[in-house]
Amino acid sequence: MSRAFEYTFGFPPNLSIAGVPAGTNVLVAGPSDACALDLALALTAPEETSDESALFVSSDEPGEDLLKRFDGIDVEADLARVGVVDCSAESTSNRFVGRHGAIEGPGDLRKIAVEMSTLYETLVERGPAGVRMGLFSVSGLLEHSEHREVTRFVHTFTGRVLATEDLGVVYVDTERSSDSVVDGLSHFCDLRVDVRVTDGVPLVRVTDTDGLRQDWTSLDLGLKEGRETA
Amino acid sequence: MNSIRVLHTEPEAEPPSATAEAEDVEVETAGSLEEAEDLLRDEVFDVVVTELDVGDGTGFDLVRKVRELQPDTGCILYTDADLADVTTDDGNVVTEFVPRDSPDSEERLQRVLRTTAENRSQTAYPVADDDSRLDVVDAVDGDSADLQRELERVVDLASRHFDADVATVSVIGEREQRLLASEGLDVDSTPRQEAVCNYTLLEDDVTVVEDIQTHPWCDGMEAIHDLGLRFYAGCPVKPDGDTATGTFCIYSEDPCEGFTGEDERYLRLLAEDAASKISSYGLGGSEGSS
Repeated sequence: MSRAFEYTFGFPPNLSIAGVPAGTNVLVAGPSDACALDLALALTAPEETSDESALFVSSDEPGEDLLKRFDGIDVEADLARVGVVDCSAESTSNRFVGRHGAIEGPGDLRKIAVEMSTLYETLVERGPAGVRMGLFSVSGLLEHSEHREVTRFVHTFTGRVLATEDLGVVYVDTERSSDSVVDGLSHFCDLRVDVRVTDGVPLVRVTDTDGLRQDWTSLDLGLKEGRETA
Repeated sequence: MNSIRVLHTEPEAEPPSATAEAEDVEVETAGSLEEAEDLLRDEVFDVVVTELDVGDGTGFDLVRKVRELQPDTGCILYTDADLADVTTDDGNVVTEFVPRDSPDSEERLQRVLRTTAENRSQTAYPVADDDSRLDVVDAVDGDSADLQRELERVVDLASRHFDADVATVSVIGEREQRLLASEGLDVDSTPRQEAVCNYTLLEDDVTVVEDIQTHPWCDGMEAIHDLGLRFYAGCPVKPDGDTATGTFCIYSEDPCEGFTGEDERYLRLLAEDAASKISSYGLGGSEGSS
């Protein structure tokens, strides 16, 4: 369904990242123990006061564990409007079974794409304002498929976000993927958000499509008790 | 872009109205995998839309065939069939999927189809602002004998200076990389998917790949691997000073970790020289002459 006006996806104010127009893809790059994954999740959290929904692809950990991460960060998200395509399990007993059968693992790109599109249709009915789509993580997919096919998958993913005027967040773990992989992925996204930790303080830097880089600034995810950065 | 060319494959069925009713969409139809394959061998399509059941195979079989014959063409599986029993042990294929039984299926198909065609969003390499870039590429007269002679001097110089096994000046079109001049390589063109230069094209400066065999961007580039090439350095070529029509690059059979700043500077100068020669001898048409 085409929206009658240009929608803006907002982000929690503590993240200091300005809202983006519908159809934007954001690359988040950083090690998961530096809060990069938490930041990527925070960007994809559907706002409680809006009619948004969210769709996550989880390749690194079971979808349930991915959602539990919201317990550790100070971001209000309505998880009732979040759907997860869980492709993390490679063991038969833990396989995610969608409408079109079981996904065999992070290497089953064909079935992941099918289940993503199927779940999308359900979510867009629940949250017609826009769907925040998160890919967590490309690094996990790359460990099970050739770079060329994962690249095509990411391109198709970001193309879908553009077509349906949603928000895409692509997370890459820089501990598991090289600079070349990250640089290559950045060409498919409109915004690049780098995350690192210096002296125990998580820092974030935003680069736009024109290559304009902001300065590194401290990242405030409002980590709850028991959570700390590496 | 011009009109969007679509191949719709479904036995004994009319194309979905989402593809058939738009004025700027041209639809060819095929009733089977074999018919679709024949058409793919003869004509270039922007997007293939397919049902799961295509008579003598599945839509996934067709996608696999598209990747073999026209790797940059987008594919959309458009079906309400249950895909649970479709096995995946015959190879992984990436395709868009639009459930045909969803309430907004026709509109969804239309939007995904248009974006896939206009943004070429299923290529296995990045593409940025390609439409405007291709206008300038089209203005390059690669058949100009004067231009070829001038560029051959530059690639020869590059080959000698860097002791490179291969040196080329190329233009990168929509689906292929065409060599305007080359040293050490006996081909006229390669499919774009096989070109490391797709990444160089998007950079402002020199791109270096120290070892092609292990670099992720070069995954699946069989032509380069078969030649035994290991090292790559390339610089975008901008005949109008702004638009990268292609690249100037060198390859070596030995991996190299010692490509210095001075080497980069020299390669940059050669790329600028090649751009100047293209501008002087081979840039015609309204876009190029401005």
